[in-house]
Amino acid sequence: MRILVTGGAGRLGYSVSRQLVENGQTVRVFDLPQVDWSHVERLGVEAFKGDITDQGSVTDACKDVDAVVHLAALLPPRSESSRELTMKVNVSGTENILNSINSDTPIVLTSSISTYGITANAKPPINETYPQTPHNNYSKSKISAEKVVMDAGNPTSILRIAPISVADLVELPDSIPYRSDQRVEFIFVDDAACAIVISLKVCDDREIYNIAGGKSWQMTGTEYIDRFYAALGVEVEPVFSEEYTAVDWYDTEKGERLGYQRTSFNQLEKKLEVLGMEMGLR
Amino acid sequence: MEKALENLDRVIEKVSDEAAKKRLGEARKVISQNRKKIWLRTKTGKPMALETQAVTENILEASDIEYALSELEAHVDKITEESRRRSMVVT
Amino acid sequence: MDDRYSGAQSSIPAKAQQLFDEARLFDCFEEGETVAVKCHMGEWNNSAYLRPILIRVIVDKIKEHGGRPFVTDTTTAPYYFYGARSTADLHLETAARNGFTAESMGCPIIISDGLYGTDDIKIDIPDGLILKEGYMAKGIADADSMIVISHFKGHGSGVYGGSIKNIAIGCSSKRGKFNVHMCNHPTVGWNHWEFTSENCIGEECPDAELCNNMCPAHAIKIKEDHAEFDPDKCIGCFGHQRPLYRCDLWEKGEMFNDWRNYFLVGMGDAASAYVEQMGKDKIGYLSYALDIAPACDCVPGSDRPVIPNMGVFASRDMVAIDIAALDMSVKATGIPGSAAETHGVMDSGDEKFTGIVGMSQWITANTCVAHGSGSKEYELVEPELREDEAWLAHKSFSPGRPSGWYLNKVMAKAEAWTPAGGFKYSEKPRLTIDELSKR
Repeated sequence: MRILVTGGAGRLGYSVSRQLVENGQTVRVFDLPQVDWSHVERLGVEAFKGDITDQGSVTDACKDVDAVVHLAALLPPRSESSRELTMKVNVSGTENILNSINSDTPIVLTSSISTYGITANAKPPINETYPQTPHNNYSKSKISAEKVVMDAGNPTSILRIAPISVADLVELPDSIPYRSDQRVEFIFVDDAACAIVISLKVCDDREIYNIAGGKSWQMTGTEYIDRFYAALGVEVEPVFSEEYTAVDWYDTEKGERLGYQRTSFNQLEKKLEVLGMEMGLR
Repeated sequence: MEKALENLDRVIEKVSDEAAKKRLGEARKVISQNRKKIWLRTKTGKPMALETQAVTENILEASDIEYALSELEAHVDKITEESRRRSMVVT
Repeated sequence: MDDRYSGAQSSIPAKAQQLFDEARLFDCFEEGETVAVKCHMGEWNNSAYLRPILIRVIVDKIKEHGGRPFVTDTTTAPYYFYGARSTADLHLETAARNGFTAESMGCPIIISDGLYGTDDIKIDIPDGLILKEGYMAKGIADADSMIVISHFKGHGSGVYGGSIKNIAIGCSSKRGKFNVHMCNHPTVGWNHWEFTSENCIGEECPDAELCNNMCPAHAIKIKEDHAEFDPDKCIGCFGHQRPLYRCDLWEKGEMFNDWRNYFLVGMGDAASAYVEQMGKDKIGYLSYALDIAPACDCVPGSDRPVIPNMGVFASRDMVAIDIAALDMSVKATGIPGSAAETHGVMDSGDEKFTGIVGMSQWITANTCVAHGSGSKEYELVEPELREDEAWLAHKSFSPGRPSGWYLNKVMAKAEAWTPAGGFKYSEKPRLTIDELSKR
């Protein structure tokens, strides 16, 4: 099968492309020309450089494509500088894809748990029936994108993915965008990619799934930061925001059929320990 | 990185050209914002920190400030890119 | 078609060729497409595997219809510590020793999962009844189509071995096999059974050196008077069956039972996923129900057959072909002195394999039905034997040119074989027939 992965040159996109190639699929990656293509090109994918807001480009990219994994989007913080651009990329871009494929072509849309809004006062865990409330440009655009995909009628899996964690050196911003007592449940990048790849197989069911790390990842913001950097072997002085952000603990039972929760938080810590040693930090 | 900042401060004082002063100021800002970055403490990051110091020393001693300034700006762009690659995104 | 012989057209190879056409197995492939001929070439020193000729005639049929066949199998897990098929080089050596070579097959023999069994593609099974993933040998996954030739018989773990098992296990790469065998299953896997280290007598046991070296992950150590096992190191290769079954190092309690049954479900999951990967319409099945031993050709020897030969089956449905053979095996009567007698399943109506192995012979097929990869509904069609024999003969023979016709040419060149004056005889035997007939 030829699978189009929009946004495939990014972090999550690379993991998705790699796993699809390992499954014996033909992968065509669509992404902006100016991003770093070196990693994904080494996988042997078809590289299509273009802009998701350009309908002509998108139509060409979708030729002979049997399924679409649609990751391309503007993320925070950039999404928060312009509502217009964010809606153009995240919603119109999605419409451009839907206009370019047959009505029976399966499409996996990566949405976000941030569409549930600030749930700090709610009782966790949050499941898929929890109402969606936009609180910023990004979440607003994702709520619209979900609707656009559902309305189009294609076979689809819509994944509301928790914030992605990587086994890499992530720099602390001047202010961490969540409170120290915030409930957080992130997910390892390869697990999120695994969920995406497997959800391609069940698009006929047209379901929405929360995708998050699982019980071992449910903690507070400060615990996450402490454990992450302790594993790396770095002393940090985190400064947390005063504001709650849109992340929580999730009910991921519906997505269990996708069998994607393979990396426990402990295993992330082990990976970070090894990395820390290699980098000369531990 | 602290030494690099010191060097730049001295250059900024010396220089009279407004345009150059502005560019130096921009570069200084980037170095200052990034000086506590964790990646600069790694095996591959430490050389970058040292290189930053060296580049600023070059400017200090340079006769042709234009060349040294563009070298500084190129280096500072690298730092910005490295930090951007590792920045935290919560989606 | 059954196993009775009454002339050239009714030999097993002849019937197999006829069934190939009657069941339209050639519909699985187009001209020029590669056809994986999946079969089992026998373990080292086993002799009950399918005779090479039974595979060769199918290869010839495929070529006749324009396909590009290659005979294939995959490397094994180390379930038998002297198993000589666990790497591709050993596998081909074993196959050749058993009579399978490119020359005898008339096409290349390829071990589809690479030298060490690492060459595979991952297949996700989100709706598997127990498995979530399968790992299919790349060589088979890449092939355009497949004809699965199975030896129908009993099996120690799978209850019976037929087309479904040939796919579920046979088309899995090494880790695919580990995965289906679920030795590392989170609740019923081997690592969760109670381990009694003192049951091992340690260094005085003649097998101590063997057991100490058999684990690829070095998870088993034989000490002076006991054994040690580190479950964290275990890769689930089920290579330590001897200390399990002979020496009771692991408790075979409720979890053991569940594990054995779950394995049967896992096989159904894997087979269904692989069939879906290749496409149901690209696969055909042939099954030889001969030399029906209670256990597989994958071990170094086969026990006395449990029921008489049943014959050859062909189908486009992997479940139907196995169910048809199983139904027929239920109707059959057991062979005296075989495992069927020991387990009290000699009568028509008894489920022979269920009785011999102790688990239901229907579980795997039912799992496949749940996936929609096959159907238990079938119509048993027994074609009439073809009248003529010429189509079975060597290409140079025909009614106008039988064997004798060629010998006539020889006679013209060489002297007659018959000596001058004819052969000399006595008029009648010197000792009477009656005398010679006594025991």
